[in-house]
Amino acid sequence: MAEDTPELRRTVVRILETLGYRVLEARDGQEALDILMDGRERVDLVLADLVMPRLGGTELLERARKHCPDLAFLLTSGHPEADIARAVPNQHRVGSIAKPYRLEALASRIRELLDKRI
Amino acid sequence: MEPFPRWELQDVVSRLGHQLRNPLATIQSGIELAQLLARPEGEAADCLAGALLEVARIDRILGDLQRLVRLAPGEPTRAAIPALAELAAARCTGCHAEIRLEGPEEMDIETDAELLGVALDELLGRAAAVTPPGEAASLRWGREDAGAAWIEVADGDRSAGPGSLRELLTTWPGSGLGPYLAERACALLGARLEWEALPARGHRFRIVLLRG
Repeated sequence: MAEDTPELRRTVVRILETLGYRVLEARDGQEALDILMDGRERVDLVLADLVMPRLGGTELLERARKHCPDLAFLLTSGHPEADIARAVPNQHRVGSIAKPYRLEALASRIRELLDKRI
Repeated sequence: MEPFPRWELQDVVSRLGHQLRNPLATIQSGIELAQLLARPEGEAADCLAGALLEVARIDRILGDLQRLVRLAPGEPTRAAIPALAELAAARCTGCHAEIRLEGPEEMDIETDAELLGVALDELLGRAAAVTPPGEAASLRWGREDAGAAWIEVADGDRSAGPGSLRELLTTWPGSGLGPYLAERACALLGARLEWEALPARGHRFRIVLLRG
């Protein structure tokens, strides 16, 4: 999970862990990209904020997909839903969710993207 | 001092919304994590559920504010009313009340579909929210004898009482800016918004599209 608001990042990571996921934390897009490039951890999905210092969510998606073309992405933002939809590229296994998101909605979007293998 | 230029107002409100949604997301996730870990019951559960509703209300008001400053007339195009009605009903997620759609299967008008969509979303969203579970809110459409198209939204709010439309649009408790947004969208469309309270039955809003 790449999110620059520490309190939100910690809480959502804990929620996802409680739901049974193993979650790696990144303070911004660059840190997330470093984790992905490092290759020591297998990553199935990236939950990333659209606006972050150093590297934002869409730039992270663009760079990460050069190395892992099938990696699922769920991009999030505090901007209105319609604006997020416009900012998020219409690509396979890329979804979006507006903040503040409900746990049920987040869990269902993640499951949907993870299941969309083909 | 010069009044705020429109684009600057939009920018300030957009930034404000963005900045407030991060702490809102933290509060909401914190409450949901507490629910998940502590599995509270009774009063504690009610308190947390109430806090979540308040987060949703603040989020809605922020969204309304952002939509309000962005409202602007666009180019009229041919729009199919049944399709717009279905879309508005589909967007009423999380409502307990049933939504009934009723009107001619084919009815096209010349209008700004985006603005009309805003008005329908706000009126139908509010109607579905105030209609008791198990009952139905409705969205009907048709044409007056003179040819003007109308779209009507009715709710089942039994607390409906006499009052002015202005009062309803500006002071409705808990409804955010929704009804006011609908009125502004109608004004920009050149449409008339009529309102009727049916005591102990509900409210009826009618948008009369003078063009098209």
